[in-house]
Amino acid sequence: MTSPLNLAIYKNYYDNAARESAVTFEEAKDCFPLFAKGLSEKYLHAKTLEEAPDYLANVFRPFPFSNGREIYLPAIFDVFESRDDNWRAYRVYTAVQAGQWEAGSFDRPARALIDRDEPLAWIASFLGTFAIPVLATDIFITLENIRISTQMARRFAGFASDLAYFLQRLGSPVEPFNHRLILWNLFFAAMGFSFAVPAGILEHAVSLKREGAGLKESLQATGAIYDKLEPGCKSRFSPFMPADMREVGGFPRDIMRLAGSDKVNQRQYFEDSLADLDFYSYPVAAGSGEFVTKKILGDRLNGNVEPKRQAEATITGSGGCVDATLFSYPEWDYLAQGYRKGWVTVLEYSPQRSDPEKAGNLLREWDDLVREVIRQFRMLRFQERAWRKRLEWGEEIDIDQAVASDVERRGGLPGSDKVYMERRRVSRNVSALFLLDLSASTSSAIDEGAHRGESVLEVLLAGTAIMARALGQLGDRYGIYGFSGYGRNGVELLRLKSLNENLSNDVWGRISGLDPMRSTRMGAAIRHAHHLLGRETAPLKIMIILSDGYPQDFDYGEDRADREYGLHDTAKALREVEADCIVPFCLTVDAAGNDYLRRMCPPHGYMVLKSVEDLPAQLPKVYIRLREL
Amino acid sequence: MPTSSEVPCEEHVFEAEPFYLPVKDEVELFEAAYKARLPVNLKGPTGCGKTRFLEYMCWRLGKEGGFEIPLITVACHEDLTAGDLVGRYLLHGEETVWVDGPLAAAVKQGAVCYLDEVVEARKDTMVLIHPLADHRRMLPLEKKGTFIRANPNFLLVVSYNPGYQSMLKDMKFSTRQRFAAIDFGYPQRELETRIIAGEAGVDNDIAEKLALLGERSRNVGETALEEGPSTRLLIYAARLMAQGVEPRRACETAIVLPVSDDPVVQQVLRDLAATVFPQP
Repeated sequence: MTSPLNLAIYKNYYDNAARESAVTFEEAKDCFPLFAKGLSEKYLHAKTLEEAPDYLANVFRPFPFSNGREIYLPAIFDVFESRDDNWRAYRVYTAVQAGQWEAGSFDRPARALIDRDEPLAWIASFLGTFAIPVLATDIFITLENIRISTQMARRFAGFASDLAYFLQRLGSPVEPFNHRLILWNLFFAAMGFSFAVPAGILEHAVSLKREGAGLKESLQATGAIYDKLEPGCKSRFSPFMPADMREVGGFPRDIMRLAGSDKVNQRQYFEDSLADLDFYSYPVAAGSGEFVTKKILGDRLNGNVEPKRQAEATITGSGGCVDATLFSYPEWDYLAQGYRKGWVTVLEYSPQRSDPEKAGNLLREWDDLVREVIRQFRMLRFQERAWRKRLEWGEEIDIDQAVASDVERRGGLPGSDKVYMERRRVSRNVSALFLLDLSASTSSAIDEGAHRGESVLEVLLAGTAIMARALGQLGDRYGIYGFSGYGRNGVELLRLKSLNENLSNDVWGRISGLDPMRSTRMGAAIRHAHHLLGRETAPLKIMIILSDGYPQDFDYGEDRADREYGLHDTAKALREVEADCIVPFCLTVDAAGNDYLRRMCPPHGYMVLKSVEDLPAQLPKVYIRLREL
Repeated sequence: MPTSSEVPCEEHVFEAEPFYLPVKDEVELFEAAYKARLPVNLKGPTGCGKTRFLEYMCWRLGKEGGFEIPLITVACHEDLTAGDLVGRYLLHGEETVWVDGPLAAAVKQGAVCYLDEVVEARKDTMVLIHPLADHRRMLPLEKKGTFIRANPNFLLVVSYNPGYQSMLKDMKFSTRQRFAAIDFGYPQRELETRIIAGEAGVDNDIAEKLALLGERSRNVGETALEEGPSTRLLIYAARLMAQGVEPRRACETAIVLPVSDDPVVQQVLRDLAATVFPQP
């Protein structure tokens, strides 16, 4: 078996009774992707070891192997006595995997006939040419672990000491009853430990420690060691190998189908293996097409022509909508690094009115806050219109004060030095647009505090209503829109108050009649709000987005659970807004908002509220701060 | 006992050569711009050496020309008024006297006037420099009803940080297009190593590690960090180390805490420092 420490890391021996010194994946998952980006310039998503395919991470290896997009980390590190050391172990895990980019593990021949966007594709093709691809894969990853660890330790002295600390505790020789355990011993032997390995393989592994050793040398060494180990493995492969080692997930499973062929037809290999690979939209040129699912890709490879998508606007909106207009917007595909042109259809309309008297109920419990916000806004307006006089230093002489001071001095009194005036802030011309997330999740009830039992939407609306009341004091132009929808042809923008409209009973009726709707395709909503604000002439334009969760729709990415596509599209939409001199700000009541808003929004362009109830009080403060930019 | 000294702005000249290592051809470009009396815009992130470059150029040009070129620096801010730059009438006893602002002083004396972080200034204030920054080379004194023709040695230089500024504080096109621009970035690792070693007096190994840390910290990128650690901060860390502060602690004080208030980003920078500098 492998070392006890590695077994503990993989099997979470202590997960039921984690000590104070333990560090969990939840604590580490925000930091280490950014740490990996620092080391490798690539943002690598953090996944747990359990989520990693067996061929990339298993208990027989000292370190997992990144697929070029993800790093694999233990669900908990509770193997060392101090929290610092457990954190340190996470750091080593990340550095070795991020180091793959630094050390060139994903390099490929310039003219490789492989999809350029799949980091492991070329390596998979190479390893697939071996008679026992699993063996070749295991050798290759072990050698890469040696090469990368050495290179990283040579470059980063801190990593070198962390690595030495970790390996000293991890390394214990094991009985080499299968090839993976031989490779375990080989790794430690190559790293300077006195572990016994079969003759003729150590020198190949050690050769990768020299400066300048690259992927090519690693592949050559893989071939040399494979030739030494293969004869022993052939006889032992089936009877001794556990099932999960014979049938490993991901590309080796495809490669396994080729096991035994002496001569591999590369083209045939690719055609067979591509359909099962987790490929995602890479073959699609930027700005066109749609997601390539496994099925579509399989059909393409089989020569089947997929039916052309009918771009239909099938929106009918909520009942009774008026003044409906359709708009088409692009969407950013971060994988293709381009826009999907005309990809989203947005319907802007005024929703059905409810009884405006209901609006009174919205604010009933917020009376004190309404009064306070109105008072603050009134003062702000007053301050903005005032000249500052009686200053000791200023842009102009305040003639009245200068005369008064002179008179005082001539009368034998000490005249005041405060005889200047300065115009600091003058009244501002501002246009603001509030964008409310009306997704289904806003129907959830608040489970604590004074507003327990109210829905998130009710509090969002209360916050907006308070702003609507108070903004009249400042004279700013503002609009209120809600957004939701379902699918790329079904994004709805509900016009609650347009920028040109006064705060009338109609507006209150629309606000009070809102109900939670469906999904959160945020990028399209922001682009439409951008379009609306773009027509404004005010020198300061503000867009405030109020939401309760991350961007999400059933076709906003490869699948409903895919967050990345939506995050990137929304981030791009926000950058577009900024580039057009509009100030965007995201205010979320999602406690987990820090995780994604940091990546999605401009720095200082977001706020995560600990409690939904804080929103009505925080929103005016945010607005005033933005207004002072 | 050490003493301080007060020097009028217009007498701020450089007798000793300021330490500066060229990154690209910025020295030659600036010299050419000075000879052609073209106003210059220095663009680059904070702490990358813009001010030091200008100090060096004042020294160098003065040495070449055989005369001293003072450097008058104005740190721009949003309440900077035209009066702050040009001058104003002040009440002095029974009289009202005109007092030149730093820009007027520089124009008269033939100094280099450096408006640092120019986009922070109000746009209406910045319009004031337009006649100085084109072929007219004159500064109108609106309140006196006169104008000053610039001394032939006068040069206007502005700086701003395109990454840091929001679009709201961008330069007006009419201002922007009056300046030749020189782009500054953080130097490559090898050069930054030499700068750190030269500025802080630390050995090459420490300087190299700090430059490596700077390079990798800047990789963390705009999604998490508004701006990565500047060369200036790396030099601060080096100076702390030269004073005997343990390297990771010096990085914490000079890099991690100044760069970000976000606990996650701080931890990331801390981890990067720990990857570069071994545990004591």
